[in-house]
Amino acid sequence: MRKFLLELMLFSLFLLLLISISILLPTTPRAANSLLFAKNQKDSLLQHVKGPRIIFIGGSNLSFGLNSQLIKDSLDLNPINTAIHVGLGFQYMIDDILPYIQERDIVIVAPEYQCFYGELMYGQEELFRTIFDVELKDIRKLKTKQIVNLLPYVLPYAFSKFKPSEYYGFKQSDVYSVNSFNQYGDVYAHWGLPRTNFSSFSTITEPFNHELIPLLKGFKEAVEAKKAVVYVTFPGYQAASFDRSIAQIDKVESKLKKEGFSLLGTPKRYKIPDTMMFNTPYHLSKEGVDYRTQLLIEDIRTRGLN
Amino acid sequence: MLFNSLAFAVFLPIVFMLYWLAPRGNLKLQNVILLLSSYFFYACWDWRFLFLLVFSTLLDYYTGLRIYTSQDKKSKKYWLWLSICINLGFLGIFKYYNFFIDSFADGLSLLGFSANFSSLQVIVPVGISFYTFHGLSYVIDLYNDRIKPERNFIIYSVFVSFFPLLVAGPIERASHLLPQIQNKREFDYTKAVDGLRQILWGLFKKIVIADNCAKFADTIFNNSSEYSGSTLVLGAIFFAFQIYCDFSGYSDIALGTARLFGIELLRNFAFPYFSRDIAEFWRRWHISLSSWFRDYLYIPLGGSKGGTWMKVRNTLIIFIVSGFWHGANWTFIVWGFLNALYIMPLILFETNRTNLDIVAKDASLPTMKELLSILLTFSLTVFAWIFFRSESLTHAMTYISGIFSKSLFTVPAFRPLYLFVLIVLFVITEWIGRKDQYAIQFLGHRYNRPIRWIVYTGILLVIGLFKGESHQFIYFQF
Repeated sequence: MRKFLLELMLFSLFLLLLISISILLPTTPRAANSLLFAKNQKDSLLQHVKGPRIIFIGGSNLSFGLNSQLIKDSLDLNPINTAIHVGLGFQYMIDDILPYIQERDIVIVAPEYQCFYGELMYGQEELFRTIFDVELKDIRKLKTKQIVNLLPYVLPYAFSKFKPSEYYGFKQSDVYSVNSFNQYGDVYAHWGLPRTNFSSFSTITEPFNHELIPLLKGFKEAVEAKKAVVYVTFPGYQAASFDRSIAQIDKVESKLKKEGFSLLGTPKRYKIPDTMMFNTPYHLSKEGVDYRTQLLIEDIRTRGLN
Repeated sequence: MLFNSLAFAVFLPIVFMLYWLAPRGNLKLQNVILLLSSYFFYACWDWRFLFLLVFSTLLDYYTGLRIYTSQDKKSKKYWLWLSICINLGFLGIFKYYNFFIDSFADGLSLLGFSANFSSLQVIVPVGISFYTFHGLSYVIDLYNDRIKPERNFIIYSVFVSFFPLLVAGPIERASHLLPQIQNKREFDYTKAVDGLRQILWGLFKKIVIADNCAKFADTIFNNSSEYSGSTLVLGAIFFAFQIYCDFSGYSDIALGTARLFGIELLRNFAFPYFSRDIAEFWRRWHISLSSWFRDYLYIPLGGSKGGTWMKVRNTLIIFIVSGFWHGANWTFIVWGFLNALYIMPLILFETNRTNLDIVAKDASLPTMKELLSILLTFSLTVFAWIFFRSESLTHAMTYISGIFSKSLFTVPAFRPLYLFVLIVLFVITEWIGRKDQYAIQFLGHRYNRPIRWIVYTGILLVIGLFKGESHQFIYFQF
């Protein structure tokens, strides 16, 4: 028994060593083109853009759903769109951005509805890849729950280093690439492309996650301590998907209201017609981007923020 | 809890450690640990059906004792039939109720009567066909005085519910498994390592071959009208590999897991796709079920005694019943019937026991005649699998007529090179290891540790790289 356990342990250690080495191997050429590397540009914007600033935080609904130039022209504010992918998780997004917040910044947070349900707020494969491909030192920012949530992605990531398709014959995506972003951090590579067919999302079935709202509250307090302000707005969500999860969306709105967040608009206002979507229920076409941005501008003006 | 899930990867080491760390190898405690963990394992599917499992166990335990203690043949028979009727009654209700109702209504409508019976939304309890047959073998063996009854309820319950075999077999026999549960088990290093190796091979078969083949087989079968004859042939071949690797992969994991606990289960597969005729195929495919039907149906019906007509009749019966055992659909019955037709010439010419040993036992490669026989047997099997996989007989017939068209000679719509390479490597490995219990068993006695570890790491790497989309094991539905 002892011999068996010892050998098993040795073999496991051997495997662990191999996995660790493969994780630490250089980023593959395919991954090096991924949109996750836009983080470097966004960090740079957060460091260098001068006030008055308006900073947007969210998932791909924001990166694929905002025309910052319109914001700049209409509100005379300097926009920074920090959004990349919802798989980074709100916990990481907030922890990553907080140090860059300056006095008098206006911070607009727009979590996708799914962030309020299940474990999405702790991050998925995109977060794992951001840490190990883009910014290893950010590993120190991870909390226990995030680490636990990321464990299933360790092996697929390690094995991906051995996939020939990561090195040869890959084609850089037209839309999901580090080069898909404009100078403000908006994805604009799809603006001239035709809408593609996609399925709407089914009803949100995961349980409500009671940790996101306290997290947002803590973030709000930390931002206010820096003499900046936080507003929460709603994602531009495809109408068909919206209708399927209306109860879950109403719950998000009422919880946010109850906790005293300053809200921009209502979920219903940001329900986007199907024809204005690009390739998923959260990715807007150029028409949708402009429509959503106009709504946001109106809501910001109503609040007297410009 | 799937064998290829993270939950099982946590569950198994915990049970393993508790089991072997039981004070001084206390047998009673070990059996209690096995029973509780088996019930937990089963409850993870649907805890409500745990009551059915416990009831079935109690029923066979009690009727078994009554059969043994009854003094006269009549009361022995009474208790035997009570057990058979209740067991098969449950199986009938959960698995076949809707089939009989629908078939009866269809039959009436053919005669010009209109009938409208309501179907039940019945969930089939996972593994019911397996543990029912388990229990039946016990009471029938008792009735025939082949075994003595087990008086210890815990031991008997472990025999029925031992988690590696609970949901998809192998279908064990009391004479084989009960003594292993009754007797003290010592940890055996060689057995445990062999068990882990078999688990690894089972995982490879399931995750790499079966799940990748499933992706293409599902697409082709679910949209068969859209594809050319050549693609449909490819779909059937993919399904043949899917079902083999899915089920034999499951069996490998089950056997390997049991070996970790010092228990040897019945072998379920013996490289069936290297069979040279259908009779050999059926001696190598789902062995525990085939031998169950042989012992508890074919032989009681008269077996091969009583002339050619009896042999033909009994063979037809066991193949059709075997098809029906797989599911309440005419497709399974036709699949069974087709296999009976395949085997009939061998029965009639008494050549069904020609190929008893593994092919090319003393050679590295098969002879041309052997190769052609293997290919012919495989083709017949693939053809029969079309019925097994199809949703209905109409679907199967449309699929087959789609194959036999001009488009049979066109290039298939799917040409997944990586999967072809994986299948070829898999077949080569199976060929090399065909004389052992499972394909990579030879690693244990032919190579030293560094080479073995490199091979294991390679297999794990291939699993990681080519992991297909997870599918539930096909045989769980039976």
